[in-house]
Amino acid sequence: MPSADLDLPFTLLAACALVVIGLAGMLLRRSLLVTVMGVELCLLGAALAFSAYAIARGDPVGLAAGVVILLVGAVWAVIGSALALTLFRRRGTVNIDELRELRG
Amino acid sequence: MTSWILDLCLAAAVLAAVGVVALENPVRSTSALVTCFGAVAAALAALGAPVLPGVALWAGVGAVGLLLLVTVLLLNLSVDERGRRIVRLLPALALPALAVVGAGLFAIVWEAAPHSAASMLPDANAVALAVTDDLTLPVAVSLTALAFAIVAALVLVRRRA
Repeated sequence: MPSADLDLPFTLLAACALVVIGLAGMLLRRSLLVTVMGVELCLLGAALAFSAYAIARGDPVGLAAGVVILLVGAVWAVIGSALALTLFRRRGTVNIDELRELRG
Repeated sequence: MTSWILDLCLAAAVLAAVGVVALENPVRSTSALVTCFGAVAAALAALGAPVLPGVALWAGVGAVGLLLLVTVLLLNLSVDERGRRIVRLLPALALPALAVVGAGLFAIVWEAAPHSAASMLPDANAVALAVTDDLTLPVAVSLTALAFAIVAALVLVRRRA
């Protein structure tokens, strides 16, 4: 199947936008769950960029790397959800500014 | 013909990502994340990528989205976070720096992009061979990490405070 419909600049721009928006979510929001979602957005942007490269080059390894990145995103979602549930059970909130035990 | 579909899906993905960060209600943020995953899966399908749209739907919408949505609903965060400032003020000053980071990131990514597209797309067999032959160790490590994460999550959640 020819890849004549590949709009590489817009795809890469969208991938970079996803990464930057994820970084903004991690920096700006106080909720641990939204921070987890920000990391997910970053990983999704990386997977999209890998896939666009792979399709542009005709290289299947890039698509396989995208699969690995999405698996890592699933791992992170499991860990983040468990952390949020544990944090809420112990502290009654998921506001990351209220975690002050290790603050000097 | 599919170029405008690809652009539409990518624009929807970026808009949904903005919604993840901008929406105050965590349920709506999670729904926007699910929408973003779905839009990226549709964009990958419009690109003609094999395997990956299904994986994005399975991992993104089925696993990540539903897991986070159930967590948000269990915690009832829309009540818990009500009346609090949800946005950090000082890091918000870093928005111009984030714009610079984004521009630099795009410049690097664009510099590495190929200038001529390949004539043939890799098929599903080639992707499966790449997963099992070229990326055996990363796939094994990520699957092992997924198994450990599920066990650790169960232990964490079941432990009484």
